[in-house]
Amino acid sequence: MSKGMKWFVGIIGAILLLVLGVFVVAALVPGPQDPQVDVATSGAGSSSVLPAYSGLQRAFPETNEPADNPTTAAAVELGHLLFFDPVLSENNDVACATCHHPDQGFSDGLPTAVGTTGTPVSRNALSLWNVAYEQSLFWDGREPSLEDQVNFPLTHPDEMGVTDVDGMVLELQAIPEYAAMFEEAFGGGDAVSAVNINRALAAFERTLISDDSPFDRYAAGDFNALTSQQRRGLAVFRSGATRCFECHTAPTFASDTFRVIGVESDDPGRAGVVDDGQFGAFRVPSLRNIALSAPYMHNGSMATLDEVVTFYEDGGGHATGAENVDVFVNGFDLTDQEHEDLIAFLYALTDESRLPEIPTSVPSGLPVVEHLDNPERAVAVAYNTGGSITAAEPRGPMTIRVEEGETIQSAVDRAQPGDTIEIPYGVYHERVVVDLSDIVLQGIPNESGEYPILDGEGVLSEGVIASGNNFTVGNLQTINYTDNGILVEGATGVHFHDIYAENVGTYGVYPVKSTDVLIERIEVTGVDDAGIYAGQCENVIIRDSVACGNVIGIEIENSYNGEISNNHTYNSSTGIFVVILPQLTSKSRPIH
Amino acid sequence: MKTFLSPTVRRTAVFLLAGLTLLTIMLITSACGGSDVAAAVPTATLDPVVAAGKAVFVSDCGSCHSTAEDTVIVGPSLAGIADRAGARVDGLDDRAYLYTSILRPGDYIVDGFENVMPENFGKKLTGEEIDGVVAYLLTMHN
Repeated sequence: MSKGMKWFVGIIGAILLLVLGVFVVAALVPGPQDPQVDVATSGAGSSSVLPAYSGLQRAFPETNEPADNPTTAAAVELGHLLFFDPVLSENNDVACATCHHPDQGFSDGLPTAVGTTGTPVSRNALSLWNVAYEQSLFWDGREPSLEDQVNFPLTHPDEMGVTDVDGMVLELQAIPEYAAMFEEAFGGGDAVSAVNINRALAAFERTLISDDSPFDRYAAGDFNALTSQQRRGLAVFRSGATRCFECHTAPTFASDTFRVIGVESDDPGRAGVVDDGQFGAFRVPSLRNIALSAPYMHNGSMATLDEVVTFYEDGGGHATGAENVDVFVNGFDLTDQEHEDLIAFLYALTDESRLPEIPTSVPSGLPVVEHLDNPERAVAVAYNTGGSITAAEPRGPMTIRVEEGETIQSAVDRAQPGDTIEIPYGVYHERVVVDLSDIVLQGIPNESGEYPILDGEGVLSEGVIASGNNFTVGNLQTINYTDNGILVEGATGVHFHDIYAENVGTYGVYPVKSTDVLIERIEVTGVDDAGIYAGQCENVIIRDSVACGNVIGIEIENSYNGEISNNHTYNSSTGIFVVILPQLTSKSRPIH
Repeated sequence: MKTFLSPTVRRTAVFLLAGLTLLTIMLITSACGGSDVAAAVPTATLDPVVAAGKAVFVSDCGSCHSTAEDTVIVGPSLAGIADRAGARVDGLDDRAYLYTSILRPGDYIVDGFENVMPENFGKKLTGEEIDGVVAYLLTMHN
C-alpha cells in the first residue's frame, strides 16, 4: 500500500468513526419533551388545572386617606357621632345617616335620595361601604377628596341644606362634648371648624370596610366558603359571556372609571362635570354589600338584583338604542339556573362584620335615626351557607335522591364529598355542574330498564360537567346538548359507565386533563366530532362501548397510557383515532 | 520535515489533528442544524397575557385548531390569523372578529367549514382567559 493510499484510508476511517460517534452522541442526547409533572401530588392529568379560586385573592388598593388626616381613633369617634347627628343640617332634621343608613347598606332604600326639603334629588344615594378605596366620588366622579365631598350634601338645598356653615360651626362649638372631642381629635385650641368636621366624617367613613365576605374567604382558599350555586355564579360573573368582572373587579368590585351602560335617563353623568366626559357615563359602583342597598343604578330605577341582571342580559342600553354603550355591555343568554346562580353570587359579597353601632344619642341631643328592618339581610344569610359545610358535624356518606319536581342540580347542591346522588327515571332539562370530589351520580332505571334522560333541547351546552376527583357517573342518557354529553375536566379517578349519548354536540363522553379514567359500556351516536374522547389524560381505559354515526368513534389525544378494548365503532370516518397534536401539551407514551 | 519524531508518531499526530478538526466541524454543524435540539431551547419570554392565552389555547382550542399552516384538525388552521382576522368581515377589526368568533362561532363561518364549534366558550372561559387567547392569536403572523 502506497503512503498516499494509507493516508487516504486513514482519513476515511477517521471520518466514519467520527460520524458514528456523532450518531451515538445524538442518540444519547434526550429529545425535546414536556416538563415532567409531579404525579405524586397531582397526577399528570389534573396537574394542569388550577384550583378554581386561584388568582382571586388580590390586594386592596391604597386608601384615599390624605397625609393631613390620619384615621385616628379620636377622629373616627367624633366622625361617628357627627355622621348620625342632624345638627349638620339647616333644619336639624337630616343627618348623613338619613340617606346613608347603616341598615340599608349605607344607602336609603329609595330610588333617589330625599333630604331636608322632601324634594327628591336626582340620583341614588351611593353606598359608603369601602368608600376608602375610591379615588373619585359621586356617580359622576366630580370630587376626588372624601373630606371635600362633605361640602356638597351639606350645602345642597335639597339635602342637608346648610346656608350658613360658619353659623353651624358656632352651633357645634357651643356643645361642650363636641368642643372637647374636636380638641382631642385635632387640637390647636380652635379645633371646631368646617375643615375638621369634614376630616372627622371622612375618617369615620374610611372605617366602613367590607372585606370578609364569603367571596373573600373563598378567594383565600376556603373552597366551601361559597355554596356550589355561588361558585357557579362566580363562574358566570367572571365569564367572557357576561364580563361583569371586567369593571366590577376584585377586590373592590368597583372601578374609578366612567361607563355608559345605557340606563334610560336624561342625566348627563360624567359629561356634566368634565369636558371630555361621555353623556350618560357613570362611575362603576362597588358591588360590596350590594344586596343590602337596593334599589340600583344612578337613578334607582331598578328595584332588585334580578332586574339588574336581566337588564344586562338584554344588552343594557343596546336594547333601547342608547349611544356609546360600553364595550363590555353586550347582552348574553343565561339559563334560568345561571341567572339565579349569578344573583346567589352577588349575595356572597355581603359582609357587615365592621358595621358601626347607631349611637343611642348624639351630643346635640337631636333624635338619631332608628334601626331599620332590612329583609335582604335574612336573604343573604340564607344564601351564604357555604361555611356551614365545614362547620357542621361531620357525617358519613349519604345517598341523596332527586325529589319529584326537583332539579338534579339542587340535589347535587345538597351533597357533600362522599355522597351518592340518585336520579330517578324521568326527563330532566338541565346542565348539571359537579365541582365536589368523591361524588357518585347515578341514574335509576325504570321498570323497562331505561335510564333517566338529560335533554338539553338543543340549547344547553353539557348534560353534566364535573371537575372533582373520584367522580362516578352512570346509568344515564344525555340527548340534544350543543357542546358535550358529559365533560369531566382536571379530575383524578373518573368512572363513566352505562351512558347513552345522542346528538350532544362535539363529544359524547369527554374526560380532559384527567388521570385514571375508566370508560365502559357507553353508546354514543350523532356527534360532530368524537363519540368518546379522552384528551390530555393519563391512564385511560375505554372498553365494551359502541360508537356509531359520529365523525370519529373513539379518540385518544395526547394521552399517556391508554387502553382501548372490545369496542365497536361503525358509520364513522375514523373508528379509533389515537393522535398526538404537537401544539398541545403532550403526554405521549404507548397506547395499547 | 526535520524533527526528532518517528514517521509513525507523526502520522498518528496528523490523524488525531484531522479527526479533532472534523469532530469540531461536525459538532458545530450538528448544533446549528439540529433543529430538534434548538427548538427545545426556550425563546424570548412571552408577554404574560399572551402566555396565559397560549395555555388556554392549548387546553381549549388546540384540539381542533392547528397553528401549523394548512393543517386542518377539525376547524381551520389559525396560522397567520393575525394577518387576516381584520380583513375577514367588513366592520370588524381583527380583535372584534376574534372575540366574535369565540363568543358566537356561528356568526361568520370560514368557507369550506361547517359550524360545529362549541358555542359555550363565552361561559366556560373567563373574560381574562378570552382576552389572553385573543392576544395570543394576534401574535400569530405568517
